Amino acid sequence: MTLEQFLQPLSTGLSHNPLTAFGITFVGGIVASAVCPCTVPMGLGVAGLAGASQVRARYGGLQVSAAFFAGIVISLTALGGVAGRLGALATESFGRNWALGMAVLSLVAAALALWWPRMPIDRLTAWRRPGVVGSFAYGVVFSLGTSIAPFLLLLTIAAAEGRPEIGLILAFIFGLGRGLPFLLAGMAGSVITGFTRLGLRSRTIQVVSAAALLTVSAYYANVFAELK
Amino acid sequence: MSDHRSSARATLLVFAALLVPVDGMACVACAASVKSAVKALPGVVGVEVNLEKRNARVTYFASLLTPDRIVAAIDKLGYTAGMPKDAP
Repeated sequence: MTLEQFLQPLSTGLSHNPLTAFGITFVGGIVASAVCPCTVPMGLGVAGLAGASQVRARYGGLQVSAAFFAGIVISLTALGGVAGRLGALATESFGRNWALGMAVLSLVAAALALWWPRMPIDRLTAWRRPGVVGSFAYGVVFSLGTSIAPFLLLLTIAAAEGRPEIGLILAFIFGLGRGLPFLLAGMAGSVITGFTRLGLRSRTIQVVSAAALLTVSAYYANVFAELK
Repeated sequence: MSDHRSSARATLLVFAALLVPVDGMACVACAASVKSAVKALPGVVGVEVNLEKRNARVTYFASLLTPDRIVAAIDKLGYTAGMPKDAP
């Protein structure tokens, strides 16, 4: 069964049984994560980012992964409000630029994961907020190119209903499902780092985190090259 | 003899364009892998993947490649290619 077939019952079920339709949309977001090849490298990247943040602050990993999750959900909800213009996000030229942007962002995140823990504590405190804001922005940029095809299909179904508010609700619920695996990956990264925090392995965690983000960067650089 | 040769050369240069529906693509990375796999086929001149319409427009030399091979290359990736149509 393809994702399109999975979402198809929405076209008849939205007006008859909205709760079931919302449930299908939420699971659709999770299924989109399962079938999207970006999920595994990006999940590793978010876990790495959360792990590196956990080394710096007690709840740093949780904050960063929650910010990334919020970035995805808020961005997709906002996109639901401008559904008529979303076709521009599905073009190859946008895809090329998006993949390049993701490669550069991931590279910057990898560099920061290595560099941040070496900063003096007072400067670290000052940088914590940008870390969360940066994660949020990373989530926003990621959501623009990933899962755009099922998302467009979802909004097409909502548009057929002729009620824009339904598009917003479906976009929000889809965003929750799409972002959930990354929130869980980030939390897992934080927990693992938390266990080893008291030991002498924080340098290893930083290197592993940076390596995960470098993998994401290389992955999107390859996507960019394939679309050329 | 010379007519025969130029006719053979003309056959080699027969250019075709197809629109192949592709189900199962989720994101830009999916589009990139479809594009890369089809571009690797001999005789393919260009591939343009449209995520919104969920299809791929393939231009190729008809004497070097058949539509079946394009469909097979997409199916092999785990996506579902539909019946190709002549592209405008």
